[in-house]
Amino acid sequence: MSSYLNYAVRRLALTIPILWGVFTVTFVLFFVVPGDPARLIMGQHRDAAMEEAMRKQWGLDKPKHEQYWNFLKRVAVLDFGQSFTTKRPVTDSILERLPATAILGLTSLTLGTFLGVAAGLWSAMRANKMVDNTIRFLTFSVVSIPFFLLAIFLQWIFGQEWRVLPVAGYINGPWGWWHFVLPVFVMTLGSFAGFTRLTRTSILEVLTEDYIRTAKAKGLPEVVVIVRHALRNAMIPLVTSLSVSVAGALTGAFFVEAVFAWPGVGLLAVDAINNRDFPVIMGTVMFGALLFVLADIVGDLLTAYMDPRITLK
Amino acid sequence: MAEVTAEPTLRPHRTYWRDVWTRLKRNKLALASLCYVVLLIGTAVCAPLIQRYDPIAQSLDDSKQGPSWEHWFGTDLYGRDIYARAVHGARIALIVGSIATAVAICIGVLLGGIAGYFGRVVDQSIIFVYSVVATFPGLLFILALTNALPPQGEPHLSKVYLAIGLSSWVGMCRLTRNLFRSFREQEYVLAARALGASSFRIIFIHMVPNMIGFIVVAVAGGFAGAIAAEAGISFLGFGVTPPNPSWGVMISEGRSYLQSSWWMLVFPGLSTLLAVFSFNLLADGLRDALDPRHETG
Repeated sequence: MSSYLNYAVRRLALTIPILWGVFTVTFVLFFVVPGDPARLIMGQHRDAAMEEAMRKQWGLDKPKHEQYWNFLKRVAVLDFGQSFTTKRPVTDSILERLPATAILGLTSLTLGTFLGVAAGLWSAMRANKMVDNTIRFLTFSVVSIPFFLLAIFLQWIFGQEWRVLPVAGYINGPWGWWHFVLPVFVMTLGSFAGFTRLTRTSILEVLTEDYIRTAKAKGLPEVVVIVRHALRNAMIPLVTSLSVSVAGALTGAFFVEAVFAWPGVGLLAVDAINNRDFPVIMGTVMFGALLFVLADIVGDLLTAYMDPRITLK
Repeated sequence: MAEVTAEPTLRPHRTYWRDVWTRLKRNKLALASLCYVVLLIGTAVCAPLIQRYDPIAQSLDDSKQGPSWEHWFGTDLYGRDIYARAVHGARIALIVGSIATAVAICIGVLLGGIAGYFGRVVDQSIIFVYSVVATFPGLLFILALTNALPPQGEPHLSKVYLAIGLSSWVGMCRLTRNLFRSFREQEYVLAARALGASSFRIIFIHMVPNMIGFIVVAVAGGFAGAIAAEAGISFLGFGVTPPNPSWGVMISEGRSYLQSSWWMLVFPGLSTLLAVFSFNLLADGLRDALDPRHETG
């Protein structure tokens, strides 16, 4: 156990420079290169006095390096300041949006993973037969068309033409789950396709291993060979992908949330860029980056736990 | 005694690319997508000859007409011919695709090559750079770049393709780095170095040609990714702006009038879908054709 802890601590230390890099790039892209943020926010309705007041209020009148340093010190303790537009703490806004994103992302990820592993297994068992070819073509199509188009078309057909499902929105109430169906369906389709392809490849690779031949040779029924010997080993490469997907599910689905007007973290980020709300942009970027690096470490730890051949170094 | 005559076994001289073409031809889907891609490029190049209408000129009398012989894809709110706009959109899509892909592949191969060839500190620094880029939540890096690139505050097509290119080189960089680490140990590199070739020459004359197959696949895949990205960010309102007929702009306009005029969404939507799908199918076919040992999942 201590080797895992040791590894986790060392990896966490290594992520600090990466997160610092993400912070610096975001700061440069939003605060330095575009010029004066106060002027950009005011846009066409410029008013010198208001602009000046805004600079004072947000500390934008200080030299850039001082702003950078002050901001970095706060971000280091996960304080992103207040939103320029709503004047509320950024961390609060993100946490408030998180449930909507999480329920959408995690539900579809769970469904997509289970269905995907099942379909991938089925596909691999019938490799190069009709079932396999159909599944492969369908999942390839899903992963290789633009995702937001799929969302728009499904929204149009089910929500507007056939009127069987609500078009958009998020409602906290008895019929809330009804609004949930379309976005979950779209996102499930995405992770389903990804996991089907991964599982198929992984199983086909495992099936060539010697221990599978041994298991078959000693007369085990096919079900046992597949489920206990092949599937369990084939799951190992999927764990990395799954942990990154969990991070993605919590970061927010930018396009799906935008299409379905789903008030999640992804939509918060897109709106923040639209309004040039720099603290919120920084908050959502750092939030996503943090989740991603953590998921990466968790994925590696789980892989090492599941596969004793891997040693953590 | 019978005379033994050796029948010369004449095998026609076959180049690598001829073999690739033979294998690609066997894949009907890839071939069909190649035809579509060629058609798309032809349409985009000949756009001014094909379109009977101006893609931007408004004609309010013809507003929101359904598809007809006169207007194949119908007209939009301002009476603009959607077919003409879609054809013009193909131009924008292909410009974005080619420049963004070129930018991404140049950066990826250059940085990845340097990292893989020199190793040590250079390698570590380049890994750091691409880890930072890869850690950004997907779309936000593209949007951050479109925000920062000049000209400040105004939309411009160059911002779109530069932002897509500058944010999509990581995969190529990682691939090139790993390939170069194995190439470095090969005898031909040792031979070149023994003959006094410079690092520049070894990288670009000896090593890069060895990964040409990967580059070809990345070009096809890059077009698909860039076209989808352009449509996506224009749809969110950060990319190409009206009245320019980008597919993403048309999709987002068409979405508002779905109830009455479905053609405003369906035709630009299908154009994007088919273009991205065929570039991806082509990339997949090329991957098999260029490397027959490779098995796709």
